[in-house]
This record gives sequence, C-alpha cells and structure tokens, in this order.
Amino acid sequence: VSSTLYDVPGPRAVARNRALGVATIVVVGGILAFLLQRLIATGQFSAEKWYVFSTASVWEQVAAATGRTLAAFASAAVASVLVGVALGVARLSDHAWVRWPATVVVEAFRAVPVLVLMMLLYYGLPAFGVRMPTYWAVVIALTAYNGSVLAEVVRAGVGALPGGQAEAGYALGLRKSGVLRLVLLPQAIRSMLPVIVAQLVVTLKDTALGYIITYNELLYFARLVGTQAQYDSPILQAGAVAAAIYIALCLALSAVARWLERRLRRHPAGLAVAPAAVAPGGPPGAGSVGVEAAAAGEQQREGGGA
Amino acid sequence: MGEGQPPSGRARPRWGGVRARTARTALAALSLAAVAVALAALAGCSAGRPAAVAEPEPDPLPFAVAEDVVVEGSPTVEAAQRRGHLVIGIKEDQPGLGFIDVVSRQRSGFDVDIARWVAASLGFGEDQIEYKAIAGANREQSLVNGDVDLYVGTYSITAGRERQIDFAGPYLVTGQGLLVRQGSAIGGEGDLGPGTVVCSATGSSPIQRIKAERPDVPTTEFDVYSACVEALRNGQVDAVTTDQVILAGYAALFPDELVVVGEPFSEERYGVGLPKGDEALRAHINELLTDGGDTWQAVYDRNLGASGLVLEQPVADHVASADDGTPQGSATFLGVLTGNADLWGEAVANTLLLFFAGGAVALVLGTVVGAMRISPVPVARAVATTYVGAVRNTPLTVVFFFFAFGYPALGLPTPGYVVLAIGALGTYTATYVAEVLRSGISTVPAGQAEAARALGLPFSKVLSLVVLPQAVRSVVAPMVGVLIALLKNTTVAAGFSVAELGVIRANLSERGESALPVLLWVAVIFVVLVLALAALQRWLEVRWRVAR
Repeated sequence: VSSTLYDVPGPRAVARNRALGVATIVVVGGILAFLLQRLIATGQFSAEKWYVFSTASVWEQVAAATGRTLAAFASAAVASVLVGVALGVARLSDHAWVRWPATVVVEAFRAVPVLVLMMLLYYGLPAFGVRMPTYWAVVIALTAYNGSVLAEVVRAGVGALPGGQAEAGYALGLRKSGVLRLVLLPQAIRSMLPVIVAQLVVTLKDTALGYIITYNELLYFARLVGTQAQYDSPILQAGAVAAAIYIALCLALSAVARWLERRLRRHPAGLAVAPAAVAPGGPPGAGSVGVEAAAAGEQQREGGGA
Repeated sequence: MGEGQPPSGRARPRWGGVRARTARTALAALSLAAVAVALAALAGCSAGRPAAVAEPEPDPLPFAVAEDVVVEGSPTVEAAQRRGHLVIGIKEDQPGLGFIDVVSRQRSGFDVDIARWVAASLGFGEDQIEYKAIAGANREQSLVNGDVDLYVGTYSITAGRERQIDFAGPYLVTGQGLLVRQGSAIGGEGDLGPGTVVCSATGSSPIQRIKAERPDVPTTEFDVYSACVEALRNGQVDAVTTDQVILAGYAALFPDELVVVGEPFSEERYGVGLPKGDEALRAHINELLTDGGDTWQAVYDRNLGASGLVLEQPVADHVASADDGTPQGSATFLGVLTGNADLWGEAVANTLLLFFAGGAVALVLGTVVGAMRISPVPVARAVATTYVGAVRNTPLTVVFFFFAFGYPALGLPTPGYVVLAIGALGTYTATYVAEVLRSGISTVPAGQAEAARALGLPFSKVLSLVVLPQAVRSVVAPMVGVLIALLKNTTVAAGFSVAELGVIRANLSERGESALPVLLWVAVIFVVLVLALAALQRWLEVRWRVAR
C-alpha cells in the first residue's frame, strides 16, 4: 500500500524521513524510558517482586489456570462453529418462519455485550431455578455471541458464491438441501476459514471476561498472585506473565489463520470466490492482523470483541 | 470495494509482506519479554524467600472433629453428609482473615479457622472440606445458587442481605479503623487532616464515609487493599482505612512496620452466611460459638494476635431480623427502571462518558498510529506495527488490568478509575481505528495515488488531497462498527470499579432488586443503542457509497 503513496525518496525526502525517524525514536524512546524509570524507581525488577515466579508451585498453578482458559475457549470454539453454521443456514432458509427467528437471535446476540450475557446467565437465570457454574456461563455466552457472528460469516460466504454454483447444482437434479450441503457450504466455509479462525481469536480473548464473573481462569489467578502482600504484591509482574501467555496463544491462533489463508491462495479453486466475500465479523473483530485482506469488503458491523 | 471489482491481486502479496513483518516484530517483542521474565525469575531464585514471610509454624487447631453428628432438620447439613464433604465459601485475598499463600497453597486466617471450627463441629475434617473462593459481590448469589453450603468471610450482617440468605453469629464485631506506619503521628480519626493521604478500596463505604465526614482529607483509591498497604509501606499514603480486623490482618503480616490505631468509628457485625431458612444450622452454629469457651480466643490469637489489636468474642445471638422496611425491590419489570432512575441515570451517563471519551482517545491515537503505519519512515512503521500487533492480541480485560492495577503500582498521581478506564478503552480501540484507516486507504485504487504523484504532489498532498477524501467514504461504515464494539466494551469497566451499566446489577441488588430484570434492562438498553448506531452505519453506507 505504502509504496504507491510516495515516490522513491530524493535527497531532501531522505533527510526529512531520517529526521522524522529520529523524532519517532526520541518520542517513543522517551515514553519507554520514563516507564522504565518508574518501573525501576518503584522496584518492579527487584528479586522480592519476582520471587513467586521462581517457585514451581506458582508455575503449576499458572499452567492449571491457563488450562482453564483453554478449556473454556475450546468448548466455546467448537460450539460456536456448530451454532454458527446452524444459524447461518437458518438465515438462508426459504421459509420465513425459520429465517426470522434466526435473524432476531443473531441480531440480538450480536448487540448485547458478551459480559452482560455472562452476567445474565450467572446472576439472572437462577431466578428461574437455572443454576450453572461460572465455567458454563462463560462458555454459553461466548457461544451465543461468536455463534451469531459466525452465522453472518457463513451467510456472507454463501452469498458471495457465484450464482452459477447453485444453478449447476439444481441442474444436476439436487434438491435444496443437497445444493446447500454438497455445493454451497463446502465452498463457503472453505473460503471463509481465515475469517472463522480470526473470530476464534476473539473468542480466546473474550475468555478473559470470565475474570469479571469470577471464573477461575488465568487473569483471575494473576490478580490473586498480585495481591499477595507477603510476597510484595507483584501485581505488575503477574499481569505481565498473564499478558505474555495471552499474546502467545493469540499469535499462535493468528498464525493458523495466516497459514490457512496462504494455503487457500495456493489452491485457487477455493479462492475464486474468497476476496469479495468479506465477512461482517471481519477485521476489526478479527483480532488478528492476518485477515484484513478480507477487510476491504463491504459492510462490517462488528468491531473487536473485548 | 464495489461489487463488480475483481479481487485486487496486486495488493495481496504486498499485504502478505506487511503481515509477515507484523508477526516477526511481535514475536521479537514477545521473546524479549520472555527473556526479561526469565531473567527476573532467576534473579528471584538466587535471592531466596523474602524475609517477611519467614514465620514459625502456628499452633495446631484448638478443636477436634466431632463424630456422628446429627443436626435435626437442617437440609444443608443432611445434603453435605450425603455428599461426604462440606462446601465452604471463603475469601482468599485477605491476610489474617481468609487467605491462601500461592506458593505453599496453605489456607489460613481467622475466618478460615472459624469455618474449620464449624465444619469440625458438624463432623467434617480438613480433608472433607471443599473451599471455594467467592468474591465479595457474589456471596449472596453463591448461597442462593447452592454453590456453597455456608460462607465465612468478613460478611457483615445487614437486613438487605437477609432477604436472600440467613446469618449465624455474629462471630466478630469490628468497625472502620485506621492502619498507619509504626511511629506515625496519626493516633485516630481526629489526627487526619489536609496533610495526610488516606487510602481505601475504590468506591467502598469506608472511603465514602471519610469523604463525606472529612472533606479536607485527601484520599486515594485503589481497586484492592493490598495496593493501599503497599502504598502505605512506601510512604505514598499515610493511612489505610477499612474494617479494623482487615487492617489487623496486614498489621499481623508486617508487625514491625504497621499498626492499627484509634477507636472503630462504625460497627460491622460479621456473621456466617447460611442458605435462607436453615434455622437448625443457625442454632447449631450460635450454640457452638456461645459454648466454645476459649476456642474463639485461641483462634483469634493464632491469626491476628501479632497485630496487637485486642478484640473480644461477641455474643452470638443473631436471629432472623424482622423486616425493617428496607426496600423490597420493584413489583413490575418497568418499576425496576423507573424506581431507580438515579442509579440508572448515573450508569448510563458513565457508559456514555466512557464511550465518547474513549472514542475520542481512540480516534486521535488511532489516526496517529494509522498514519505511522503507512508512513515512509521505517522506524515509525515498526513502532506502529508492534503496538497494533501486541495490543490486538491482548484481551481487553488484560489491558484494563494493567491500567487499573498496574498503573497505580508505578507511584504516579492517581487520576481516578474513570480516567484509567478511558485510557484502557482508548488504547485498545485505537488499534482497530488504525487498522480500519489503513485498510480504507488500501481500497483507493493505486492509480489514484500514482496519478497524484505524476502531477508532482508530495506525500502529504497525495494523502490529504487525493487518497484520504476517497478513503473516508469507505472507512466510515467500518469505523462505526469499531465504535459499536467500543460501546459494548465499556461494560468491561464493570470489573474495575467504574459505576456504569455493567455494574448496576450489584448496586441495585443492594436495593433489593433481583438480578434478572436489571440485566434484561441493561441488555435492552444496549440493543437499542447498538441498533441505533447500526442504522446510522447503514445510512452512511448508502449515502457515501463509492461509485466506481
């Protein structure tokens, strides 16, 4: 993109760019130096502050907490893909009585914040005698939201297929279900895979919302460690460890998205339809830097999840 | 991008390059961070265990596990006996009261020992107790849900709570006190003044009482007491205020440094939380506490004796309090809204404040970052790419965590949680703004920029006269999408002490409203706001469609 915006720099532009580069380094370096100075001044690098992270016991618990984060993510990821395909197909139905309820569900769950959904499940539903542990509140809320977003992705994917695909299917004598199942969905899901995986990155990030309804996940444990006064309250240190783990997990998932995208590009059969078919849940929600190729697309309502 | 436009094959490989760079930069930053963590951990190893935690083994528990216990007519005990273990709700972040040491994983504290005592009297030994850490805001819910059989954890007996649950006890009577450094000139509430900074938990009733009664005293608020105690030990604040025994827990942890002073200036009666209607269990616990002899004192000395605070066992005679006219909650679904207009107004106002202020920060910062990402200056591009890559792969909750807990640890002036929440939302959303701008610019056909350059325009004019005016049109709709996400994300501030829509459930439950209608109203408000923004988005999209 960038290179079309400016010429190969001449001597003056080179000098100006260098000056700007130096200015950037000074400003950003200044901010970082100030932060570093504050970190040193408040003793954030002291041995006492990091002591807890030198014990096997704490790392075992970090691993267990990460496991609980991943457990919630895995259940929600599988369930939201299934729900997404189901709702997406329902929204494509020819029958209004199937299409309309699906539309209402999708629109409602995309409009309500995931955290409010979690609270409704955990604090609200016991009024009806429905009681669930925080784990299920997290999984069900994430499934409802991400399933709805993925439904739009599936719908957009099918909608972006050339009309000839369905027509050819009918010409072969396939029924509606056959056309959808054998012709349209395989192509749509294939072309939408990068967007679907990117939405799963959002799902992974949103598991951290479980912290607020006290699901005992990674961030919750970080706070517990950070408030241990006898170990010098290492809250920044615990936060840094948690953030590093989250970022590593998200980057790994984003890498999967990029890998899928590259793979699809190598097999153009699946790609013929992909670029235009851009998903509503697209880039801002994607959380991945990878999928914005799809971004240029038309409407994208949803921005990033939390 | 219009319908008929072919996929831009030209642009793709270039984007791939940018992405690859993004990944490399982010990975490099990450591995640096990992090395730093590892080094710091090693440094910690060699230094060994901090001196403050080297305590002698406490005395053994001063009670024995009873056998063949029958509590006639207590469904809670019967269920626990059938199950084979007792589930007790506790706190785990209050030293001296309800605490877990993350290294040794030992639970300790006065409340925990009281819980063990009650369990032992019911025939449950330590290996038959399942502890569940329940945060303050979830205590009633956990008893109502049946998640726990009983709850012991600085749980004040109030009429509001008794509508949902029952209390046995009280097993401890305390009041708001002050924690100061050893040798401090502050000996009580009267010694506070304009020169003494007082710290407490954000929005807690102790800090509100100080603000109301002593407006001349400067205050600092942190989300957790441990942050206040650290600030006190560092000299950033001069006193910490909350219930005396909570302070005593910290004083017992640092007996050479900290001391609880003054007379309590309020009264809190801690009880054992029980499921509603279990009179038999209440009677059993009250009897246990009353006939316990010096067990109570032994448990107290074992946990809080080192603090120097002397307390006596209160008379455990609590029975269900008669309804004293506290609010009963609204009868109708609509009444939940109209009857609490003040709280709803504050919540909606704060949500909108977070939305607009956070949005402004995000748009400004995001535009700067977006400009850096397409600029001809490699350093600026690298900085912007690292920022976007790192923040977009971090959960918003973690970003909030750093702003709410991490920033105060830096010892800088505390601007209040609303400002920190705006900072967190702005920092996070800016990355999405930057990406929308960048991809918007990439939708402008390359020929446009090339033509502008062919006319001899410099970079700044290529952007401002030719590319940006066209990009804005395709950017507007996705930008509203980002703002919709921002609006929904304001709820995350609920976990960090900002009184917006996400947290109104807790406030209204104090007024006796049940959670379901409150949360349904919150959902309705969000659906309305989001649909309004979505309608705006569609309208802009149609109006500003790029006809190519």
